[in-house]
Amino acid sequence: MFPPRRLPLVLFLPLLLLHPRIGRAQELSGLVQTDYQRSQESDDELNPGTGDPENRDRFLVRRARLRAERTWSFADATVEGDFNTVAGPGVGLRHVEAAVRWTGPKTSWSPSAPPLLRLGAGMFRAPFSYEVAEQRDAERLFAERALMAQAFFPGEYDVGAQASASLDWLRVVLAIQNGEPIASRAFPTSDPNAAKDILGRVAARTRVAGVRIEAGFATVWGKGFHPGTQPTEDTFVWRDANEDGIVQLGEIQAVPGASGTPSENFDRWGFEGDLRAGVRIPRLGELLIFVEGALASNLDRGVRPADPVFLGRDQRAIGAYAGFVQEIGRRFLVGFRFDTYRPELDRTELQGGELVRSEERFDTYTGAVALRFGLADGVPGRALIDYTARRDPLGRDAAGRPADLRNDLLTARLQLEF
Amino acid sequence: MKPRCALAALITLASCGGADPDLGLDLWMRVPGAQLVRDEVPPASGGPDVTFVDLRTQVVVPGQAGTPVAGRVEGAAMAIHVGLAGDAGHWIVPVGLPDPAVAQELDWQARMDFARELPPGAVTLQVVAVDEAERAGPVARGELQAEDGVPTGELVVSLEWDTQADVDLLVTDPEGIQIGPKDINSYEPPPPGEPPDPPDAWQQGGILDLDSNSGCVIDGIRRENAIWTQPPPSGHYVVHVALTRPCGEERASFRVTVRSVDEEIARAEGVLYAIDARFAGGVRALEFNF
Repeated sequence: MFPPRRLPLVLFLPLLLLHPRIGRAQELSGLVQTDYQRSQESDDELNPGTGDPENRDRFLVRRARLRAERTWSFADATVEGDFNTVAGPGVGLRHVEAAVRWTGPKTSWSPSAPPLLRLGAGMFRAPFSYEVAEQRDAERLFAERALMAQAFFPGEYDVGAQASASLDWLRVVLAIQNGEPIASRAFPTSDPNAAKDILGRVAARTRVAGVRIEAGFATVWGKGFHPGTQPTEDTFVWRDANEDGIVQLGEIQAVPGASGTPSENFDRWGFEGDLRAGVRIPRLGELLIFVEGALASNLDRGVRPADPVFLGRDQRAIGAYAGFVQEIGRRFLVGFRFDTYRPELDRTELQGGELVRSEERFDTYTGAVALRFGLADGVPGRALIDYTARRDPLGRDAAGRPADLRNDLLTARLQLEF
Repeated sequence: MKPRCALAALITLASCGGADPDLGLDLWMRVPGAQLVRDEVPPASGGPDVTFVDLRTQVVVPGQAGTPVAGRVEGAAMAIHVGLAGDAGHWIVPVGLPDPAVAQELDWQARMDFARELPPGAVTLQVVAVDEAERAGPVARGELQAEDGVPTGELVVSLEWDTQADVDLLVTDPEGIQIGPKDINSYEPPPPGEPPDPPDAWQQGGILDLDSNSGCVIDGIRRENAIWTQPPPSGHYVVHVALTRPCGEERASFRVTVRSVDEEIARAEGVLYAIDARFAGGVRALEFNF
């Protein structure tokens, strides 16, 4: 995320692409999503640790995107900026990519037609998981992505290069990226190690007996980074053991200096598979059923950032989601999604004096209803109500065991595209 | 979740089970990182005993943070519930490892933060052990004495403020000696060649009891007192309040009170802003004759 003083730069870059001498098939588009959120977690307090407001009942600009694209028969370029108020005024880049392309031996060329071959470099979505790689934010019925996507590829975008090949029914993408997505908790958009992540995704689509079927499979292999520590000097501390406020000799402890520790790389990988089926229901509209699952090792960078060097073992994670979206006439959409994520399959915890295996499981049930409307040609809008019921282990029950915390979230969203 | 409750939750986000996400910052006692329950500690229902409560101190000052408490419970315990009697809630803390010295018992420990609103006087710390079936044992108690933070003396000048800034009390006595963090005692020994004063003569001066939040090392007490335990010099006193370091705060509201024995004789209130940290001498808050 960039500070607001870079706002002019972020605005200028998309507009540069629209200069009439630069190319043809130009497009300037945008998306505005404004939310009112109401959360069970909300409290009119400041967090004692971070100083951030604990109030979660608020209006916010969740996403405001400005995107400029230019497509030639042999190349394309995209610059997209993001503006939001999620954590104060935020300005940042999203999709920034330049690519060369070959449309194949076609007689006529259309900028919307996928090229047969394409080589691009810049900041683009990681080709892993349908929600991360392909689904547009404006297209998704639910307010946010499944937790698994937020854990493995927080922010969706990363810097690198990619090659893709597209047929009518098949799309193959191979990418090399830094391995630090833009919302990563450790080193967003920078890269602390020389190793790069290799990602590959194959997606296919077909139609069988009136049913539209799409499926994808993706994998990622790379190396994460465990930061070393700086050397320290000798010092001493006073611990007021008897709480009398008086320094006594026995309460002073010498803390010897320690040498620094080297940084280390660790292996990480993940596999993902997704399937969607769409069928037209008479008098209602299209019914879309979807399912996706992923298995990963040391890949979490957003929810429980993986550090196997610190843990002393790999952090294996598994996630999945499934649900449906049903059109009701031309105006309404209704949908439900179940999403589960287990960030640490081998987690242990001290319970009753014994170290026991303690599965940490985040389940999310999301129901959403949307009204589609159009203000004018090319300006589709959507009003959305999204209720997200979270079942997680962030609280404690009476026996001190991990228990569900009351943190359900209601989101009312107004969305416009242009 | 019951259907009616689920429907109510859908409409109003009302609570429908699950642990309370409340931080409990309104409680007299807080245990950072522990689970809050807005209720009394559970009544005994056949659960394990708390066998030992180790209070490192019996005296606490409102605003004091990080006071350790530890102890042991019977081996069947999973967690302890700890809170002050009469408080608006209590806290759940998982127990730790087996005690190395006492067989069949487990250790537990917590750190307590005390609110500035903690009423002075005796308060009772209640600790209850709970087993896997959530059965509670009998209440173990520890007695604490909450000081009101206002010492007594012939003359006491007190400063309190409301944010975690480094604010200092500066009192200039009629002889022109300023008591503050740089000179915490107004007593001046006789010059060379003069007969020495008695060994306890230092108590004749006004003494600053604490430099709270000094150097932005936050202690949370946010109270300083200049105390004369013996009759102070008569004349005109001037009280300054200095925002020495904002420590990231934008402002600090302060109150200065002057007491003689138990009687309040003067009071002043004001606000310091971060920009006031430029003025090392502070702002003149109060003047009085004694």
